[in-house]
Amino acid sequence: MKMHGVITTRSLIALAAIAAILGVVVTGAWAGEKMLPGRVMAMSKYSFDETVSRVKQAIEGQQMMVVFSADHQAMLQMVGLQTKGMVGIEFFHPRYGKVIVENDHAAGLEIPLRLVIMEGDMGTMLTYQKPSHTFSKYPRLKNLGEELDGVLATIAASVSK
Amino acid sequence: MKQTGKNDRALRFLLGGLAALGSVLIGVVPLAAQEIKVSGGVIVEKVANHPFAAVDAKLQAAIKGAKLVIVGEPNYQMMQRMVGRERKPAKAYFVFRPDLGTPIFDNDPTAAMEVPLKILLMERGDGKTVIRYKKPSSVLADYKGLESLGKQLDDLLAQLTDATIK
Repeated sequence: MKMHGVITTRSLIALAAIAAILGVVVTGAWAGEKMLPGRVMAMSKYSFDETVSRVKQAIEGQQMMVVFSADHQAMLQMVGLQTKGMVGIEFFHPRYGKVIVENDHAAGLEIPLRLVIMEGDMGTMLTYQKPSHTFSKYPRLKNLGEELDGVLATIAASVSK
Repeated sequence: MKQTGKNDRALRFLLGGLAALGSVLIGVVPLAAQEIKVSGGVIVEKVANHPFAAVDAKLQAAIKGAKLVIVGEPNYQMMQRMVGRERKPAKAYFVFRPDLGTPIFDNDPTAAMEVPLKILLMERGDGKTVIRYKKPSSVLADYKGLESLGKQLDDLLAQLTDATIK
C-alpha cells in the first residue's frame, strides 16, 4: 500500500489553513493562480468524520436533500491505494430543480450540487464550486446561482474555522 | 471515346473514394451526436431514436460493459413529482471506476470535484431520448497532469454512449 498525493494534498490543505488563520474562506478570486475560477476551499475545525456528519446536517438544515455520497477513499482502497478520508456529497432539492426545468433544462447537467470533504495532515478541508459560477453559462439561472451561493456559504460556515 | 472512358473511370474512382471517406467520417462522428461548447467546457449530446426505457436499459448495460461503477442514480422525474410538477422521464447516472481515480489522486486531488462523471438521460418532446454529458477532457483541462486521463475518459464515454444510441 502506498500513500499517494500527500504533497499535493498537503499544499492545498496548507493554503486553506493559511486562509483559516486569516479568518477567510479561500475563493478563486482571492487565491489567484492556484485556484480554479469559482472554487471555494475552507478548513474545517472538526475531524473528518465529524465534518462529514455536520455538513450533512447543515445540508438538511437548508431544506436540501443529500442525494448520495461518493466515498473516494473506499474506491481508491479497491485498487490498493491507502489514502486519508475523502468524500463527495451530492445534494439538492426539487424546488430548485423546478426553477431549472422552467428556465433552462440544459442546466440539468449541473445538479445535484457537489461538495468534497478531504482529510489531510493539517486537518480537514471542504471544497466546492460556487453555484453562481456553475450557473453563469445559463443566463436565466443567474438569480438561482446567487441564491445557492448563500446556501453553500451557510453550509460551509457550519464547519469552518 | 477512349479519353471519355478514362474520365469515367477517374470520376468513379473519385466518387468511390469520397464515399469511402464519408462512411469513415460517419463512423467516427455519429450523425446524432453533437458537441456544444459552453464556458468552462464542452457538452456532448447524442439523440437516440428509441423510447426512454429502452435507451435506459442499453445505457445501463453499456456502463456495466465498461466496468464502470454506478455511484448514484437520481431520478429527476420522481424528484419533480415531489414538488407537484410532472415532467417527461429524466435521470442521471453518476459513474466511475476506482482505477481511474489513481491518476487524479496522484496528480491533482482537487479534481475529485469532477468525479464521479455524470451522464444525463431524458425524454424529448418528440419521444426521442437525449443523452448528455460533459466531455471529460474539457472538465479536467484545468487540472495538472490529467490530460491523458481526460482523453481516456472521452473515449470511454463516447464508446458507451454510441453503443447506447444504436
